Amino acid sequence: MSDSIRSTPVPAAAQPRRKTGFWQATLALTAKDLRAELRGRELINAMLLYAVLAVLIFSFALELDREARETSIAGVFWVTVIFAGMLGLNRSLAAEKDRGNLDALLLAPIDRGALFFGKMLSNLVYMLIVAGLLIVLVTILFNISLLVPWLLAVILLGTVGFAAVGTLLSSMTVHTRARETMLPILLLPVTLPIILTSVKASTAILNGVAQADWIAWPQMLLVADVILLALSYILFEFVVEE
Amino acid sequence: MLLQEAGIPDNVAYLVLGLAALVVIFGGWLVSFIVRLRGLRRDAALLAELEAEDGPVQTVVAPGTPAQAK
Amino acid sequence: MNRTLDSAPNRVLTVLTVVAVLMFVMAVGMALFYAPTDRQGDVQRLFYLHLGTFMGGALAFFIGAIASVAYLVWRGEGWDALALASIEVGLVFSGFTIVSGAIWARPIWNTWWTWDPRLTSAAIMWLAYAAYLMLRNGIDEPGRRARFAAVYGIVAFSSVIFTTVITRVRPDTIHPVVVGPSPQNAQGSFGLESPAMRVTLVFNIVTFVVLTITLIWHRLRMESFSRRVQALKMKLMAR
Repeated sequence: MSDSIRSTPVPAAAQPRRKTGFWQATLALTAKDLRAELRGRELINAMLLYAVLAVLIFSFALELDREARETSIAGVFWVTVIFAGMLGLNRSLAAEKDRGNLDALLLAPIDRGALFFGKMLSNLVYMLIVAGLLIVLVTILFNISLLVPWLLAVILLGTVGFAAVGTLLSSMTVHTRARETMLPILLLPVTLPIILTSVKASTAILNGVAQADWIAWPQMLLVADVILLALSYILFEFVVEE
Repeated sequence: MLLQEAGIPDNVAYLVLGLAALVVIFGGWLVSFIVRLRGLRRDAALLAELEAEDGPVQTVVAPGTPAQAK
Repeated sequence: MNRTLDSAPNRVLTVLTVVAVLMFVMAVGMALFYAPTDRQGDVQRLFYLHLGTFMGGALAFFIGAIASVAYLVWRGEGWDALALASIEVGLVFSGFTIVSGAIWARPIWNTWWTWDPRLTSAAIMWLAYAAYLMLRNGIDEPGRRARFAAVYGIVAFSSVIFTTVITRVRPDTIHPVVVGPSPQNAQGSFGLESPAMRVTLVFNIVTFVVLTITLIWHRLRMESFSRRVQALKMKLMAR
């Protein structure tokens, strides 16, 4: 990598005098992302609008009547969150790269792992905002309350796993030729363990199935989260190594 | 070719279909492999020639040689 | 005339290729003529090839995962080439596994495809590795291509393993398990009652494993050939 990049302005949050602590750096990066997003709001606005449109189109396309709602609303919810999440993932690193910030971030004396968690956390926040809106929307439009403690836990677990793998893969796809189209193709097959367990658990919870019959799904989701999070964290270092 | 006993359904057509799939899938890969290998051999021969000439390579190569198409 | 770039003929590989082709012909022959007809009818003969290619594909993807890890650890270009070769061959084998399964399912389950957990996980496995090849095609710089491909190869393999585990612990599959305990809902099960059937199955598995290794080896040699051609092209263009 050429020396000229060293002169590029480094974002204030990532420009400490000495090596910052891991979590301190992580939170600083997340805060930087969220602050930048708060100023422009192009990402989160697009994600929220997309989510509303998706729910409307699903309700027409699936003709969600009373019965269909109970069996398919969890699927509608997760598909919407996941595709809105991919919208965000595609932009979050692409924006850094286009502004030339990515190289600067990599040269800053911060741990690569902190960079990963910083990006992952901001992506997670966007997805959780979308999920929050959807919970309200579904409750109002379909008269099904999603405010069930177990369901909220599943939503958190599912989005954490998805954001972890998504951050890793989107940091690769920004370097590919057709980056926006590449991300879903790479991401969807490998996040299937997370999507599958989240949807199964959510459907069972919404239908009031006895806990003993579905508790295995969140448990498997937790295991998948731990494995994929650890793997993404370890492999991220190889993605950004130059 | 195969003995049909009573009570055994006759679905030999599906077996034939399966064998056809075997031929198409493995044969398809094999054809693609051979085509790619031939292309490489052609490129290699061309490049070897160019290297042997050792002359003003740039001007000779530039106009539309297949190896050059990128 | 271009022996300088193309690798010299390899005697071990030549012998292996001949053996693999002979074994392949014999394995298919055994499945068609040697094994007795099952109660399901002749279509059951596809099973020997179905399980054989499954084993071959699984082996190829396993080698691909090992080679991906090895590339990230040791950074030899050969590991990257091996990962690519294995995964491409694995796609061919698992592709046939899925297609032959569908063809068997039509007369036995009365449908080409059903969203059975096992079928779903097989389809996702195929798609993940197809995505692997697409990722490689999307990156021009060789070092980065190798690195990203290795990372994705590892993620894809772990995810496939995990999907497999998740879907297999569930008892609601209708996919028969011929070797080992059968799931309670399995439809279209058959036992391999006659010894000739078991011999055919074992021979098919061994054959497809040998065939997998042979094809990976050929593909690997072509890949290194291709890289030498590419390097020479770069060298000549730089002049």
